Amino acid sequence: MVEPVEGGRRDRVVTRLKHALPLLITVTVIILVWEFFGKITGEPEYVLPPLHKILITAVDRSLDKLLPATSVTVQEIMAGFALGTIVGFLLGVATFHVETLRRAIMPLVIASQAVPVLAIAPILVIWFGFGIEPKIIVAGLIVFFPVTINTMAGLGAVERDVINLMNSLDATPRQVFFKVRFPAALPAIFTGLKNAAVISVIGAIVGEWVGSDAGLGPVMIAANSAFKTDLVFAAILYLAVIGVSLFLAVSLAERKLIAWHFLTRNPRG
Amino acid sequence: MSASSSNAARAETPGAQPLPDVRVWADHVTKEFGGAADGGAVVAVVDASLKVSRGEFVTLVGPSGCGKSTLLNIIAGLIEPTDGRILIDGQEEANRRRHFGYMFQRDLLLPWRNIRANVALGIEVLGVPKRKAREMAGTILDEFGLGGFADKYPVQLSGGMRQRAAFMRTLLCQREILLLDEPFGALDALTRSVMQEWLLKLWGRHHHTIIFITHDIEEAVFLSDRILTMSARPGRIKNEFRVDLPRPRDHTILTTPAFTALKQRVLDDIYEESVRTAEAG
Repeated sequence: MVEPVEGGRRDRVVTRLKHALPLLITVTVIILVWEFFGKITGEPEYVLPPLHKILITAVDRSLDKLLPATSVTVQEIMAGFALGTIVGFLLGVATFHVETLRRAIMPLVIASQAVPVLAIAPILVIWFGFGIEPKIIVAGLIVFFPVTINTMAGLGAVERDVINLMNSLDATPRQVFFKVRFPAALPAIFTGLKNAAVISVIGAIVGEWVGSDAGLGPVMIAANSAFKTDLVFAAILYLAVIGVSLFLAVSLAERKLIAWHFLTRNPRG
Repeated sequence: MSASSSNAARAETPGAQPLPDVRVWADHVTKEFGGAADGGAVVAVVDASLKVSRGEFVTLVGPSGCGKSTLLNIIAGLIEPTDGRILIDGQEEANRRRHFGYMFQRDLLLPWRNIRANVALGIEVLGVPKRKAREMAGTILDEFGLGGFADKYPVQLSGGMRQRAAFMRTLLCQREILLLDEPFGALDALTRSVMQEWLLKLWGRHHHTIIFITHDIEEAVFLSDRILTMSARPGRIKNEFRVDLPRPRDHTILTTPAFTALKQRVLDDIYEESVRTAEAG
């Protein structure tokens, strides 16, 4: 192992900047075009409000409108994410271990993903009303699938020889699961969770869109029909922040809980 | 080899006791995989018999795919033979897994456990409480000079180190009979040579009964008291060679005339088998 020399850190920062440069340019161009879209094309402001107006609205309307709505939507997302994760994980474990169950359920599970969640959401509203429940269920419905699929894949990714090793030690099925299969599946499960984190936002918003009186969804619907597009975009900004935060939280948990997965081979062997 | 020198050598080796104390007896073992339903059975092992005495180092040599791993798995109790039986100390047992320490070609260290926890895995499975198991693992790692690596993860170690850790995991289970399935097969030649000497030292101290599998004839001659050659599939035990080279052995023995002569004899014995395997694809 070579200790990083003084210049090493600065070199690395420079390299990172070089890597980030294309993205920085893209983002700058988008920001500029967005900001001056109205001036360039002569379109009215409500078509695409300049960025600074959206940001001002996002701050001005935060206390009376956006933050209370965010609080409702975040609750739906978190509950849906938790529900989908638990159900998805248990279903993944069960279908992995019981072949009959896999044959009985998996085709239906896969078929359920072919039905657009937007089509199911109104029915859930009829069943569960305009409260928080249908939103949680819609989010859960979207979330559980990647968790199930990745759990199954992760549990199955254990090499035959490792199972043989456990068998040679006369390990119980319980020991094989907790000492080998579950930890081995964690990287795949986290891949599913990161996917789930992002789409859980979609689930909650779809749920709100078809019938709700609280949350960012109704705020957007009302603002849209009043041509207050700056408020619509401000709400979208909030949603994006929620989604990215949840993704980052899961990524952070991943880094903490399965730090071993990110170890790289010692270059000196 | 003169009788006297080989006897003198035997006297300081674990395998030196009078031989009839048979620990492992594979009695006319046959194994077929699949049945008529699968489009015909594949016969992996045919009528293989072998006896291994207490403290003896026996090696099975044969071309790839000759069924030597299958035979070892049957002895270990990981699969059951189609025909024949396995006796331990003259007894047939329903669950014989607890008698054996099994080593695989690959170290099979779990990437999420550090070396200490990996070494502790075996005894944890056997029921030693986690704390105590890790403590014992730390002790054996210190004893073998690997204490400095206890907190490292497998990816951070070289192949030789990893295989050593895998050995620690097996040794800690304190099984008297070791089944070693090409444990050095994945290592580079130099590391392999170092590991072979290391294993002999270990064996000299712990007096294990060892059944070793390899397709490396030099390795077989260097390590063993006795070599059993196997034919190409379906695998049969073909011939037996006693290795009366003096112990303790080190790498300097590799170029002695007695060593190369025996190596040549074993090679001649399995060469045509290997050709057959190669041509069969």
